[in-house]
Amino acid sequence: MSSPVEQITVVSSDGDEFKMTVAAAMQSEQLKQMLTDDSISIVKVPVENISTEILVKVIEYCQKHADHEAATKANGGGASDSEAEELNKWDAEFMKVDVEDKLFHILMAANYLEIKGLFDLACQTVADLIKGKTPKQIRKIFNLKNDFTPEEQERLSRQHNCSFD
Amino acid sequence: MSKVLGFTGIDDFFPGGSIYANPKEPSLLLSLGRHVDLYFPPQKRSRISASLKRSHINDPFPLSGELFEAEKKQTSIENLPDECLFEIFRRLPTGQERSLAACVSKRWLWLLSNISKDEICSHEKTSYENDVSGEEADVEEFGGGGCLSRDLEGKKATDVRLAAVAVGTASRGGLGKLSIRGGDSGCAVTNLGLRAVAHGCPSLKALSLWNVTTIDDEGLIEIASGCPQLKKLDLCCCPTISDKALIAVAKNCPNLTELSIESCPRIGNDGLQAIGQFSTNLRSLSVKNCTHVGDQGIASLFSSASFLLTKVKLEALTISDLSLAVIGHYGKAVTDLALKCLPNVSEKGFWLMGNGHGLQKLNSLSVASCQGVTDIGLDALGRGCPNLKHLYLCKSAFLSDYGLASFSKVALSIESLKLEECHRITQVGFFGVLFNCCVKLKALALISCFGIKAQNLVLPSVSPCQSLQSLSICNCPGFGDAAMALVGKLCPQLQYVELSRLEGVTDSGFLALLLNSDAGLVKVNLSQCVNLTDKAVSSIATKHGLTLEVFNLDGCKKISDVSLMAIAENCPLIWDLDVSGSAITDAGVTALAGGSMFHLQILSLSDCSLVSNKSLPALRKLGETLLGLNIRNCKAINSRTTGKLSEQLWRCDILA
Repeated sequence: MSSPVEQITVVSSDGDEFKMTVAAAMQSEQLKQMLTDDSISIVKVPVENISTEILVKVIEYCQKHADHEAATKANGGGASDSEAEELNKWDAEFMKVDVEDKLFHILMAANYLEIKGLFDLACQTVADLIKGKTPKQIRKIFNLKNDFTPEEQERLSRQHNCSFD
Repeated sequence: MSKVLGFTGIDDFFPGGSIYANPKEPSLLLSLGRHVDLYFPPQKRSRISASLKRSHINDPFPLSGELFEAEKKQTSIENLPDECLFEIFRRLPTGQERSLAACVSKRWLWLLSNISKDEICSHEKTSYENDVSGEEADVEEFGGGGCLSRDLEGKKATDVRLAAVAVGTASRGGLGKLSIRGGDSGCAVTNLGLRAVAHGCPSLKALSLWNVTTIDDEGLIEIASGCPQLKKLDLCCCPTISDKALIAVAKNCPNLTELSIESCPRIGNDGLQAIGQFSTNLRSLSVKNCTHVGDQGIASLFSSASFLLTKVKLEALTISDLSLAVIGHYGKAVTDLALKCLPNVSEKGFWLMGNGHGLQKLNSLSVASCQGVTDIGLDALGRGCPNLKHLYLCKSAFLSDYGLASFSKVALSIESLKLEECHRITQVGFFGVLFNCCVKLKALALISCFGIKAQNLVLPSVSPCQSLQSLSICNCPGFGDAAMALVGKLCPQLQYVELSRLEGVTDSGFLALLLNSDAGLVKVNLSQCVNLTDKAVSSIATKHGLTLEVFNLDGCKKISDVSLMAIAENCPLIWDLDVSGSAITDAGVTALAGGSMFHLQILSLSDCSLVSNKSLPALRKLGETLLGLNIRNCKAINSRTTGKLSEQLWRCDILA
């Protein structure tokens, strides 16, 4: 094991540097791999696909969850219900992003860095957006094109009892 | 994805950074992993959206900066790799949600159709007010009991359709039966479509693929692993399916009960061997025209098949005597056996089959175009199958009167016997059957046996055959009045008689047979008997009017109104009357309407050129009970009348 590093630096695609505690970095499987691998001595980790805006959010999430984990450990194992609920509330607030674009970027960042919790959270948030909407509404929200032929549309709408438009 | 059409010089007017020159369309089902290519950081944009183009149709190079800012809100859900979208879809809780999402775009449809039951997330960690059991029920209803059935044919059979079926049926009770028929124009279904079905329809019970050349083993193997409840498999004209797929089905679908393979040249002995080994629930097997299936496959299947295989059909195969010997020995549960066109089977094969003593439960045997059915072969079968009730022999050129007679002596259980195109049989053989089987034989049919010729037969005095209820003699030109009279004497209990295309029989012959029946005729079919006249029909109607239900005089050119009047007066129970191609006129139809035919449901007057529009009132009256009316080719009835009839007889199916 290399000498424990307190913090690591991640560099966004825009070139901005951010410091992350090791505990926070361990939330990401990718970073965890790098940190526990003796043969690599890491000081600065470039994450070329993630912009500053998104990286800030990701680090915030990792930090919060790392702190929560540490607190749980200190309390001797199980997280109490109220603490778990508080974390969930924080997560919900966290995912309230102003622009939907951000949501997908966070999702992809979580995928790339293999941050399971954030990835699940982001996917669930998108799923909740899709839930309860008609195909037309979904297409409007996400700006998607309907690429079915008229016959296929008719078939599908008959089959699924939904109106296309 | 929005597309920009006819647009050039993209690089020039973008304020910052470069643009992806060639954003890739995510291909169907491509698992991209963490491909960076599709990741679009917010300030880079790939293209101008279509809405911009709409507002600036004539000006393809808008320079205003504000416009770009306004368009900055461009979502990139389409840029998510498949695996991310998949993860999102997994979290849609109900089938209904997934169905709606499937209607959004083809890509979404594909991804959703590939979600299998195990991959749906049930919500564990989030605190929900709704009952958790409700949500679990949603996950469980995936696939359902398989009560839905879908048929895809020709051009409409596409992968998209299959994906839609997979998604749509999953939450509505599940797909139970699927049939895909490639038409003449070909079929667009590929392995991808079958994979969608495999993932989305775990309750699939019956699959039928006809003429589908665009799939291969991969697709069927997916179905085998995704649909373990498969019971029926029907493959016809699938040249790309081989033993590999059949082996997979045999191993993964233990509930397989019915298997039918026709014209699949790549399926052979190995596939059948696997079926014999693993499909212990197989009850019905049909193999037709598969050039690679030989003795080894059939033999190994039968020798390892369990005691459930009851129905077997083998047609147009190169199997030899060996296979029949194996069937004769191991076919302990077989009740129905049909063999057709087996050119390599000789007399020995049938002899071995009968002497194997394994076909104890055989009830019904049908052998067509097999030269091995000779006197010896048939005799062995008669002895070896003590429970044989129904026998149908077609094109057995070598079977003679002697063989038939000896068979009828030893086949003690035989109830129905049908001979078609057995040209060595003469009247001797025919009457021999009537003598020997007089205890149990209920039905006898002789079709197109040209060996029957007028003979001066002196019959021994025998008691008449009391058990024979049904007699069919069709297209045996040598059958004449004398023979009819003899038959009449011997068969007094006839109820169902078919004497069609007998040009050698006149009224006296018909009457000799038909008036002799003590039991009362229920169904009489005298179609194409051109010598039949009104006199005979009237006599029949009078004698058997109280029992007659079906009367077919199709093509009896000499029949006229007199017959119809006799029928109208005497036959209140008739529900099916066919006088097509006869000489009846409007008067006859009117008489029919005026009679006591309160049960008439089906009436056929096609090709009666003397029936005209004047019959309209009569037909209307008859139509009160009619369910089917055939007035095709009635040249004197015009379309106006037909139209009126269709309007007024709304319950009746009219063919015009």
